[in-house]
Amino acid sequence: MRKGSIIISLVLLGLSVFSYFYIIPTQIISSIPIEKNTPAVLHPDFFPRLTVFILAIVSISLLISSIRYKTDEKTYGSDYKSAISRVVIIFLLSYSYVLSLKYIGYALSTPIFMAIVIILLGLRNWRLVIPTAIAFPFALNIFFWYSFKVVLPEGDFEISAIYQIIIGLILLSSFTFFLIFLERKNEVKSPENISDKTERETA
Amino acid sequence: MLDQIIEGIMMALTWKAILFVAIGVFAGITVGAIPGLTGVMATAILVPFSFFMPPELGIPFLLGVHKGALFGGSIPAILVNTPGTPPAAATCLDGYPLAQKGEAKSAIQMSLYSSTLGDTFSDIALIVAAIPLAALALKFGPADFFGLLVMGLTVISSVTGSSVPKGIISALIGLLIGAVGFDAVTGAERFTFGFDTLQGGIGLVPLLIGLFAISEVLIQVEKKLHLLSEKPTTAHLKGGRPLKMQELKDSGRTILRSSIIGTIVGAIPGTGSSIATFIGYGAAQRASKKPEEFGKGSYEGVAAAEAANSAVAGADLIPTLTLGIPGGGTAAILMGAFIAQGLRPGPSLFEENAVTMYAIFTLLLIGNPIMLIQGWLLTDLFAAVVTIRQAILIPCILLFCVIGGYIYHNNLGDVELALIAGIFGYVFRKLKFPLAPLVIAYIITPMAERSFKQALLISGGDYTVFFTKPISLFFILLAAVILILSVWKQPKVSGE
Amino acid sequence: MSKLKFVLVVVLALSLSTIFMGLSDSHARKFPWKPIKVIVPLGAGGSHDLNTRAVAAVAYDYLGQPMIVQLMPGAGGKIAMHALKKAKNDGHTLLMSSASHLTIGPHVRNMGYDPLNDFEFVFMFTKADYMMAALASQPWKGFKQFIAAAKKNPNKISYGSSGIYGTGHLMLLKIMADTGAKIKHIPFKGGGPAYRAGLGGHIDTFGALPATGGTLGRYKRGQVQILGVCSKKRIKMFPKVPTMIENGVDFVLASKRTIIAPKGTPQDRIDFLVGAFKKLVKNKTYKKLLKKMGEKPSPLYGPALKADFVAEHAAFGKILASIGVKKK
Repeated sequence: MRKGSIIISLVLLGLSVFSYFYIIPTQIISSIPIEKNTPAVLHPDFFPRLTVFILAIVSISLLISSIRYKTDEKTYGSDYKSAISRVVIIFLLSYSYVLSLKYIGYALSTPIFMAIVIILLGLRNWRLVIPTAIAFPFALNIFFWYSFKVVLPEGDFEISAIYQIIIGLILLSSFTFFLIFLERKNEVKSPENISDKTERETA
Repeated sequence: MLDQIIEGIMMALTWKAILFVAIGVFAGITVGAIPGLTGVMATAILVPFSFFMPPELGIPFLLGVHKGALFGGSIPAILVNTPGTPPAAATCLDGYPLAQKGEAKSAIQMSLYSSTLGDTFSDIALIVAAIPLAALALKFGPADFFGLLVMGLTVISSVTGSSVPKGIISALIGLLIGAVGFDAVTGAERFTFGFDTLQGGIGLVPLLIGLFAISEVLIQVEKKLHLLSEKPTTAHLKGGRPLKMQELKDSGRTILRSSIIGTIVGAIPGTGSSIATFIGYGAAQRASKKPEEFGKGSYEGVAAAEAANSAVAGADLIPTLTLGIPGGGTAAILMGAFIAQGLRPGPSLFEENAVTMYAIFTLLLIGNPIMLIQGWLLTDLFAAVVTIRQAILIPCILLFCVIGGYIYHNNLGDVELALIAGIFGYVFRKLKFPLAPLVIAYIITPMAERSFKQALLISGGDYTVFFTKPISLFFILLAAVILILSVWKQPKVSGE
Repeated sequence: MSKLKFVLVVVLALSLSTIFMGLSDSHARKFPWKPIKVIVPLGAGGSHDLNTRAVAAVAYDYLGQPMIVQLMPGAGGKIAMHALKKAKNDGHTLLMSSASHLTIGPHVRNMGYDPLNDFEFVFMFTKADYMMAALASQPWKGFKQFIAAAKKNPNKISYGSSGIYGTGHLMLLKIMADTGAKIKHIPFKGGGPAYRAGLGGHIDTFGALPATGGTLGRYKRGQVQILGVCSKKRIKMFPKVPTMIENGVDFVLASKRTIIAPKGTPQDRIDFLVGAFKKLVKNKTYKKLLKKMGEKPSPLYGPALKADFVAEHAAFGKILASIGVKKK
């Protein structure tokens, strides 16, 4: 990808310069004073500066070689945009999941997260989605607790177990069916929806 | 002395002892297969259990865990490009492409055989040559460490792939990432941007999980939906075919070379299994008749990586037992377990506890075939993972990554780091930058910088110390030779 | 339709059994109602880690819940201490601290916590006195000869410490200040690597704790000499080793393994923990483990414990100031 290489080498070049003059001086904090006669090599900023310097040089070399290199651009399929948007969505979802681990806890967030991802990846068969979304996180939790005594994040609020389950089930089912409904509306009719024989196979 | 050996062997060959080793190996494989649970952590968690077992049972149990973990780490590496333990990152490079070709089973078997052979080699080295090896290891001062690490860095030259500038950039970025955190010699904080989590540096495990596993997830997610939600087309292969004997024989020299490298590097305290693995991998690529296959699915690559990292398992016990100086994290914990059992590692260990030690050695050796059997039985189960449709597999992998990143240091911030590393890895790979140099630089450079500064401080600013100390000189010359050879051999490819 | 019902039943059963997942959040229970987490600010396999695991191994019988060890090394203890500061103060999260994190570090740089006021002191388990060691093959024997040699060759003799402004480094600074000798300081990442380098002869002197692997054996065999121990009186394990005070250096330093809790932890829960720990240190298995590690229990708790730390904090503040080390 010629364009990509050019962009990235420019970015790297810019970043190296920026690092050298701004980031390194501000982000390397010696809270303990360095004696005056210490040779430059032993200063904490020596290696980073050297690295960034070499990085700038190599970026220039990459820039030059990618400008000179003539090749056909790879043509991307028409669903390139939807592929990339899937990547972005999955990433954002994962990040939100991590955040929700902090505040809501593992028990509630994980099944919902799993279900959403499975559906987003095309699997509509709720008979596969819901059991997987519940069974796998549950199995993991039990496994980690009984073997290594690891407690997975619990979130900030203390609701008693029964309420959590009820809320969890309601949320999970509604999310699942809602998403499936949405997806069914959006997509073009294609044959892979109806696959009864795949029902028997679970993860 | 002979009667002590015999008595020790008799003590070892009881059903109970062998059972404990087997349980340990199984636990080790399980733990190794979980990203985020490093062998160190697992051993640490299991040590208290061993407090309540007598020494002849507790120690072999832990040793089994140690062995099993290094093999177990290769399983997720091969199946889903997730290193279960840090050294398995090298196994990802060739194991995963093999699995994608539908040869997961044979890849796992190659890993199993290489691990067993590597571990057996270093166990024998431990039993036979522990004392001279340990004395050699002690001679490594900061300057010598630096030389060794510089040689390790030259491995990068063989894994840059087709574009040398991209490989160098990758390594430099790895260097910068490794610089985040505290500079051990001056105590300065570097690149922490005020975040607490970054103060300890960017964790190895979250970084690897992100760069390898999460980036792979993101790449897979680009696929067309129907490919993801249906059963994979390779499913009928049931994970692949068994490894052919010929393939194993072809990699024989590689396995031997990696075992030697792993044993020597592992015997030097403070180096760790990751360094040994990458040096072994790089050496194998250089010596191979088909170096261009490395990184695309070469059985030799898998063999090289796995033999080296399992060889460390036996080797890091060498300084631990003979000198009382732990060779690495897991060995340090094992040493604690030894002490808690009343066995004092160090020069007097064999005089005072000869019989127990011989029993332990016997069980150490028996552990290898046990691992082989267990691995062999479990391979089908593991390989079946690739038959699961991706719409279900991917969320499970994501969940594993999240939990793995969390378990590492009980810190959700590490998981966020892993995700960021994931996006970073995704962009990196799409732009065809190689990941291996980044990982190698990230692991080796902080240690190299530290050793370099320490050596200079000790010598009082005298740079010639790196050339006057024999060990350091040896490694630096070796590094120079390797660099010259690789530049010489490199076909001139520009641009992509 | 019955297929659907079957699946629904399975799903319902599975979710009912997720009671396990939510169980830890249920209310109205006796303390402790879930496992007690002890954060360890140092790395795996170190004496700190092992000490904590020794306690954890027998803790269940005294606490009624298992004790889980959580390693959070890095940044000189800062990461772990911050984690403790942010943790819920319901008594389920504790930390096994050592001297440098509480009484030394805060004087030298901004750790982000106030050692004496951000935490509650619960229980001290063991004390390990810091020692200065060297290979017996050195041309000088004993502290006096060592200092004489150092004075004759300023900045030639080296000392390897466990880290910048850690316990070992501090000891070195005090020695240099009190004796006038100039010794090179080589920082390592932790006590282990420094010890190794010392044994290999790459540095001249290094720090050690009585329990450090093999020290006693090497000392008895004449491989290693101990120049001094930083305690008030000579210790039983090494009766021939003079204290630093006898050597003319007024420096007392022990690695004190103390459990601390976040500020605001209810006093009744602290009292419960203290009561449990008081009984724990008498446990036979625990005592056996400690003995094998070369440590001895020295329990301390309550106001006496806090007073001990306050005094040490002030004392080190004075020492550091006298050497000229100040917070930047």
